[in-house]
Amino acid sequence: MLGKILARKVSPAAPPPPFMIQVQNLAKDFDGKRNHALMDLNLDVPKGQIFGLIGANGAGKTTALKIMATILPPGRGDVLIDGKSVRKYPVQVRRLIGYVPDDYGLYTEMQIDEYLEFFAACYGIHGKKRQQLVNELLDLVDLQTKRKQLLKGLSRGMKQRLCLAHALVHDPQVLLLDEPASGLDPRARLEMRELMRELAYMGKTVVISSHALQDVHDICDVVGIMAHGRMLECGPTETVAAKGAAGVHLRQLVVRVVSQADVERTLTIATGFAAVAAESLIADPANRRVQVAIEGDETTCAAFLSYLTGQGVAVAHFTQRGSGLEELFVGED
Amino acid sequence: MTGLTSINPIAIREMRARMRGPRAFIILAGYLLMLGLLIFLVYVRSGGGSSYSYPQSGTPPVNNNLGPTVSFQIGQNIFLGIFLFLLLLVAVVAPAITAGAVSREIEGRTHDLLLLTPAYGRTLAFGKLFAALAFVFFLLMGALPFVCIVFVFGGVNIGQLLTGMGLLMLTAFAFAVLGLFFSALFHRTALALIFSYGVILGLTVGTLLVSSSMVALINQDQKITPPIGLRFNANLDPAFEMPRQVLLVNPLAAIGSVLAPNAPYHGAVGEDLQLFPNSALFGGNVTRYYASPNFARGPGGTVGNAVILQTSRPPLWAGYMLSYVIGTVLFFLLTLFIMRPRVRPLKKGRVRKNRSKDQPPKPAIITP
Repeated sequence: MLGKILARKVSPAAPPPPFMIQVQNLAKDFDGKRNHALMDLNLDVPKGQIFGLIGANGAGKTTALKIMATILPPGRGDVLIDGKSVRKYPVQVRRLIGYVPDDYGLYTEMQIDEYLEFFAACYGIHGKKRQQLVNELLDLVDLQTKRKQLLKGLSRGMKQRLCLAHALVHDPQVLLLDEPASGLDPRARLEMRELMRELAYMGKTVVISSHALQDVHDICDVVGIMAHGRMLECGPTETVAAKGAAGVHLRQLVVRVVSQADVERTLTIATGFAAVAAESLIADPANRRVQVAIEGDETTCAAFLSYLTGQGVAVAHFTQRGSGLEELFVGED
Repeated sequence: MTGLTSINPIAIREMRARMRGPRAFIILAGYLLMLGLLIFLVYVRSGGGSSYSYPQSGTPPVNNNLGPTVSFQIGQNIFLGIFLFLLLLVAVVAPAITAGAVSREIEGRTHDLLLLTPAYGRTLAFGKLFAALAFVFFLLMGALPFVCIVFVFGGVNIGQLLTGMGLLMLTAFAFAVLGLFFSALFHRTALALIFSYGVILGLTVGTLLVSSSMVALINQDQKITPPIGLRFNANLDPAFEMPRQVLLVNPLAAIGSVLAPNAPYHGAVGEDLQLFPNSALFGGNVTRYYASPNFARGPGGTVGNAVILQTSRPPLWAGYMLSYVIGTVLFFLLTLFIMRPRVRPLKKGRVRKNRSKDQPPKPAIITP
């Protein structure tokens, strides 16, 4: 016994795991095996990195985050947080992570400072230390002046910042944020980005899920595009974004014409263009708009515009709708 | 309050939420108003509205003393009225609060956040239970000045009052644990409420039906028509204890036995299963309970036509307390087991084993 203890003392400390988050062949089914939420997802996030998980609704982002947060059990595979398996050591993993769900989860009858004090007490932080912590967190998320306000009267942006403060109560190494920017106005988004940068500066490893690239573009070092439970594309944000902008994929175009008669003409003429999917055409005569899905790159878009004007359609405005990468990669699945 | 939060943050949060705003005080005021009205009705129905005292119809006086007879009977009627009302309150409110303990957290999207904290599990269960009981006790304590009205009339001593309050608190504890257990089990408020109230109905009405059915069967066997359903005939087998044992878990019988400790009492020649034998207002046969000047305490048996109370047998409320303490502890331990911190289980089947263990993990795809 003594030998074992001594051996343990003299043995060199285990090297820290290379990645803070390791997702290994993660799969998850719901409703028996009918609904495959995740299929063989693999992901490694180094310490201190901000990772963006992008995908449409139902892509599996929230399921992946909930499994990382130990709220849902993995179906197959495993997730290691700082080397600890969420399957084997969920309680230890919980001390390492801070989780912000997409639907907030607030006790609306509480005040802001009470809410943070409550969660601090739940993590066993008491006395002056708790008061100090609450003050620091309120300063961080810029809610110090609102500290006595009831939660039910808060704006969405304030609620989001408060949730973030709550997730930081126990000083976790990993932050898992589910759609932190959804529904926020431009100013609140800007504040949220600032906050994320500050967290990255503090050395936190952050995973953010979002359905649009512009929400995470300025924040994330790396992004992964998910669809139907699979990782379609993953890499540095700029690389993935450039690939999305330039590559051949399904694009949603919106054409505004000068008269309602042109709407009908556009519908007829557009079907003659080879790259247009006929079933994708949507007419909006009231606003003189036609929405069309087109398979191709930027040259194809330009050719389509030339085709329309060549056929005599008076085009007032021509734009590509949305820049979310989940839309860009939808054709690859 | 900050110091208290350190003890159990969940309990403090729940209590704060419940007492914030005017709602709790409106509930308290309404409930005390109803209680006051009830006491007045019981007082009037017991003959207290008369300008002078007289024994109730069909009730023989005790030692030919007419005055105190009605006075103490009014006191006992008011006591029973108040405690049955409080019992109803406890049976409705205690499970109603705890039945949503887990499910309301899920519905409010706060369950997952609590699950991630070390407070999930024992702290959560104790906190929810403590907060629910604190509110019920707050309501019970609010009724205490009303309860003390019985001392004006007599017929109830301080020991009986404290026993009654103890019974109510234990019942509140038991019913709150029941609600918490079903909430932890089903994670749905409506389902937890249905099951909690179902069990409480079984304990209060179900046991009465079972017990009275047993009595009816025995009486039928003896070819005797009893005056009321819950009464054994004196000719029955005195050793047959089961109808009484069934009533050991009945809170109504327990409250009734506070004022009539040996009721349902067991004479040498039979059992009398009245719930409230000392109160004509609540269906008791007072004639039989306060039978005659021969009414006396002793080892059991009869003197003339009167039943002598059997003081050697412990009162029914003592058995009730014992059975409820055991049941409550067992259910609470089960609740703690269900609420232990773990990853939320799958709805169907168990977590599947990692079948892809032998497959090499795919290489990392991040190259920042």
